[in-house]
Amino acid sequence: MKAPISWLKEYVDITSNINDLMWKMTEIGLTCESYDEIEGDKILDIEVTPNRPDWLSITGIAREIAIIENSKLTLPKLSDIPKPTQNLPINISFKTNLTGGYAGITISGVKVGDSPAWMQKRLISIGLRPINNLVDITNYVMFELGCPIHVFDYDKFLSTDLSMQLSKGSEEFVSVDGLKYKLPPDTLIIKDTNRVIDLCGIKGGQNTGISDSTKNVFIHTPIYNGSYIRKTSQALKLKSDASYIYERGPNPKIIPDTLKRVVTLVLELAGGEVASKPIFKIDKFIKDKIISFDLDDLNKFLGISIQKELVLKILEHLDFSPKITGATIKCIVPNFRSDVNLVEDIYEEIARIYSYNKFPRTLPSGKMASVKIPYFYDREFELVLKNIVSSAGYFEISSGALTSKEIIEKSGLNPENHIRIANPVSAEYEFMRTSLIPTLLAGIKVNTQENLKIFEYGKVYFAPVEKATEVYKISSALRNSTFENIKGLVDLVLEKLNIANYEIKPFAISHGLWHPNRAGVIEMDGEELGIFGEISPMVLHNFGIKGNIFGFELDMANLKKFQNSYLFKPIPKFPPQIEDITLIIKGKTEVGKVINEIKMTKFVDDVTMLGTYQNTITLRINYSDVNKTLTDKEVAEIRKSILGTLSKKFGVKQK
Amino acid sequence: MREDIINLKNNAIGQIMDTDSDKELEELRIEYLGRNGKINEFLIDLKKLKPDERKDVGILINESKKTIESTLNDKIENLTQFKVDTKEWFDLTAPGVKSEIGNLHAQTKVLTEILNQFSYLGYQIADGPEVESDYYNFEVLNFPKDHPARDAQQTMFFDVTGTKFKPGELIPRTHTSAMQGRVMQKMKPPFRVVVPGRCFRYEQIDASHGVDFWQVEGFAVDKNITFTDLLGTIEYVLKGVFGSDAQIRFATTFFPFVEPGVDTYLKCTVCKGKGCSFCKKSGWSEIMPAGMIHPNVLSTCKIDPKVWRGFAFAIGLSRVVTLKYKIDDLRTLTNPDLRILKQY
Repeated sequence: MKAPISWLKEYVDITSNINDLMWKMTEIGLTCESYDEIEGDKILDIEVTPNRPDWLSITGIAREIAIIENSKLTLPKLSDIPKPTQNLPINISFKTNLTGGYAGITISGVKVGDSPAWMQKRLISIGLRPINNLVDITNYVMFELGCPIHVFDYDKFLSTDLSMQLSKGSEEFVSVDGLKYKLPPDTLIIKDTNRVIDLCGIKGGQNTGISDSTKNVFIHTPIYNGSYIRKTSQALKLKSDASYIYERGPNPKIIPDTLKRVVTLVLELAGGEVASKPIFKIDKFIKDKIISFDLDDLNKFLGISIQKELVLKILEHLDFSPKITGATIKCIVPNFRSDVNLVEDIYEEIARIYSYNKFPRTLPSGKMASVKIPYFYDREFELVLKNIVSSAGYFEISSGALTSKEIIEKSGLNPENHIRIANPVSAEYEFMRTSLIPTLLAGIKVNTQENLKIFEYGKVYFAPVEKATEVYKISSALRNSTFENIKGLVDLVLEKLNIANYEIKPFAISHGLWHPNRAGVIEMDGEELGIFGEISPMVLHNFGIKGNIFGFELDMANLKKFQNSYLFKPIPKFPPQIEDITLIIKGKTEVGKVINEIKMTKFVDDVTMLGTYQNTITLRINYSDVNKTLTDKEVAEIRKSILGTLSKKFGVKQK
Repeated sequence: MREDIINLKNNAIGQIMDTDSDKELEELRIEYLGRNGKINEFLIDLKKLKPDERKDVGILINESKKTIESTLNDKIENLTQFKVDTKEWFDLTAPGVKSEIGNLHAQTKVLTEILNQFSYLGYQIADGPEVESDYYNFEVLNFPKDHPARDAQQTMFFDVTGTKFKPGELIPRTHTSAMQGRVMQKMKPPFRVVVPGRCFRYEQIDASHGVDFWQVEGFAVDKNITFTDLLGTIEYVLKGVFGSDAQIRFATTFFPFVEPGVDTYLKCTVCKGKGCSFCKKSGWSEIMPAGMIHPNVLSTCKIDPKVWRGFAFAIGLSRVVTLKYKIDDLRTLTNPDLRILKQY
C-alpha cells in the first residue's frame, strides 16, 4: 500500500520527521521501511497485514498516524446525496446471500473526460494509471475510504433488471481491459438479461464499461464474501485492487458514506444529475462488538502494571469508547476494526500503543517439563556423528531437499519412489530426495581437489506421500581413493559408537546408485545400518565424474538404536604376547569373516591385517590374559585352536 | 656446628641449582670446595671439638662435601651435555604441517549456538515431519481456509493422485510452527520446546529466497507466562547468539496464530545500523517474528486458554548464518565448493 505524505496530511497533521514517523508506524504495526520521492512528495511504502483491511485506505492510515502524532483525524466532508431530478430506474435482485451490504445509484448526463490534475497526480503517486474522470473517481474514493466502487454505462444495460448470482460454470466474460475468461462455477457475477456484466469484486465487464460517449451511469459499492472472491481470483489468476480489499473484508458500515463521497465527486467533476433514489441493502444488522476485561488480567498477561488512566487514554485514542466500572473496562469496538474480537486483541491494542519497546524484558519463572517431550530429537547424537566424520577429514555440505527427475534418473534411482510436488517452482525442484549421495556427487563435481572428502547429514523422504517415511541419513563421498579408506571410515564410525558384530553383505537386489559388487549393505541383527562402497561407474558417467568415488549412506535411527555406551576397561597389568602369522587364503574367502573368527577366540585381544601378498594375508594377533602373562606354550595352544577352526570353516592354512 | 654444616650444604646446592653459568659454577666450587673453601674451614674448626664429637661431625662434613661435589659435577655435566648453541639460526616462520581435519557447516555451528541458548533456558528439542498436513500447517494455527493470511506463505503441495487426500491437503510444511499443534495435542503443559527444521515455500530462487530454508521454532506454555517473558526470552537468545552488545527492538505485527503479534528487529550486525545491503539499507534486520499463542490455537489443542498462556517465535536460521558470516547470498549456504566450506 502506497501512501503519499501530502495526501495523508489532508486528514492529519504530521510533524515527525520521515524516519521517526516510519519507525513509529512500524512499531504499531503499519510496517514501513522505505519511501519513494516523487516531485517533492514522499510516498510511503506500507506493508499492510491481512488483519487490517482498514489500513487499505489513506484515511485508515491517517487515523493510525493521528494516534502516533497525537493529533486529530479530519475525514473528508460528506454532502448528502441530492434528491433525484431525473429518472433512470434500476433494479437489482440478489440471488445469493454473499453480499454483506450493497449501495447503488444512477446519474444521468455525465460528461466523460480527464480527471483534474490533482486527482491524477495522487493516483499516479500510488501506482495507478488515470483513465477518465468517472473511473478515476471510483479508484480515488476506494483508496481514500477503503471500499471498492464500480461504475457501469447505464445505456449499455440490455435490461434495467440486474441480478447478482453464482455462475453455473463456463460462462464467458470479457473484462473492461478486454481479457477473456471462462468462469468457474460458483463465481459471484451480475447479469443483465443473460449477459455477465460484472465479475463481482474483481473486474467489471467490457460490455458495460465507460467510454468517451457515456452519458448515463450506474454506480455501485457492494460488500462481498471475501472467500468467494478469493477462490475466483485464484482460479482465474486474476487480481485487482478491489479483490485484494474484498479478500480482507472491508467495513460494511462505510457503504453509505462511500456512495455519498462518489456522488459528490461525480457531480462536481463530471456533472450530471442524480437519476434514482439510492439503493441501500445492509443485509445483516451488524451489532457493535462489546469486549470487557479486567485491569488485573491485563497486567497479569502483559507482565507489568500499566496505569488505569493510561489504559483508558489509549482506548479513547483508538475509538474504543472505554467505560470503567470498578476494575472492569468495557469497550465498544469501532466498526472499522473487524480484527478485534477477543480480550487478547484489546491487550495487543494497549501494548502496541503503549509501545512494545517500553516493556521490561523478563524470563519465565515457571517449572520446566520433567518428562521428555513428544517428538524429542537427540541432537547430541547428530553432533557426535558429525564430529567423528569431520575429524576424519570430511567437510560438511548442506543442500536442498528437492531434486529433479533428471538427477534421480542420472543417479540410477526410480522416480516412482519419490514424493512429487504438484506445483513445483521448476522441474529442478519437483521431487523430495531419497538419498544424499546425488548432492554429494554434485559437490564432487564442483571441486577440483584430488582427494576430496565431503559429507552431508539430512533427511530423505520416501513415497507414498500419504504414508511418507522421513529418515535422517549421514552420507559421505571421497574421490580417487580406495575401498579400504571408505571401509575404514565405516569401521571407525561404528567403533566410535561401540557397535560391534555388524555384518557386511552383498546387495540382495542390485541398487542403481552403487557398484553391483564393490558396494554392499551393513547389517546388524537383520536391520540395515547403511550402504557403503563404490558408486556405480554408470552413475559417475552420467554425472560427468572421472575416476572412482567411494561413499557411504548410514541410517541415523538404526545407528542410534544399536549404539552402546562404552564401558571402561582397565589397562592390562600383564604384557600381551604379539605374533604375526601368514595365512594361505583360498579364492573368494571373505577375509573379514576370517578376522572376526580369530577375534572371537578366548585370549585374543586384537587382530589387525598387516598386508596381503598373492594368495596370503599377514595378520598381527595380540594375545593376553587379565590374570597373568601368557607363556609361549599357552599361546601356541591358542594358535593351534585358531588354525584348526580356520581350516575347518574356511579351508585356510598357515603358510 | 652441625646445623651450620647442613645450612652450608643446602645453600651450596641451592646456588648450584640456580645458575646455568659455567663461570659462576667455578666460583661456587672455589667458594665451597677450594683449598680455602668453606668446607675446609669446617675441617679446621673440627679440631676445636671434643674428641667424642669429632667423629660424627667429621662424617657429616665429608658427606656434605660429597653431596656438593656430586651436585656440582652433575650440573656441569648437564650444562655441557644439553648446552645449545645460542647463536644457531632457526626459522620460526617456516610453515607448519596441518593435520587433515574436516569441518562442520556454518549452519550446523550456528544452529548449535542457538540451541545452546535454549537449552540454558530449559527448552527441549523436537523434530517433526516435513511432509505435513494442511491441518497442522495451517488450520490448527488459526489460518482459516481461503484466508489471505495464507498468502504470506506461498505454499507448494504434493501430488496426491491415487490417495484419499484432496489436492492441497498434504504439503511440504511452510514453517516449523506446524509442530506447535503436534506437540501441544500430545502433551500437557508446562513445556518449553524448540524445533529446528527445514521448511518449504513456493519462491523463485534468488540471493535472498530459496525453495527450502531453515527455521528454529520455539514455544512455551505455562500458567503465568507474560508478554514481558516473551520479549525477555527473545532478547536472551539473540544476545546469546550475537553477543551482549546486540541491540534489538520490537514492533507490532500479525500472524493468525499469535495475539499480540511481535516482530523483532536486530540492529544490523554488518553495518552496525548505518544501512547496508544486508539490512536493505534500513540499519535493522527483521529476524524473529513472535507473539503470545492465540487462544484459538490453545483451545484447538485442548489446552484451556483461561488457565494456560504461551508464547511462540521463529528464527530464520539461514538469516542468522548469513548475518554472522556476512554472507550476502543465501545460495552460498548450499554451495559445496571447498573454498567456501573451509571458511566455516
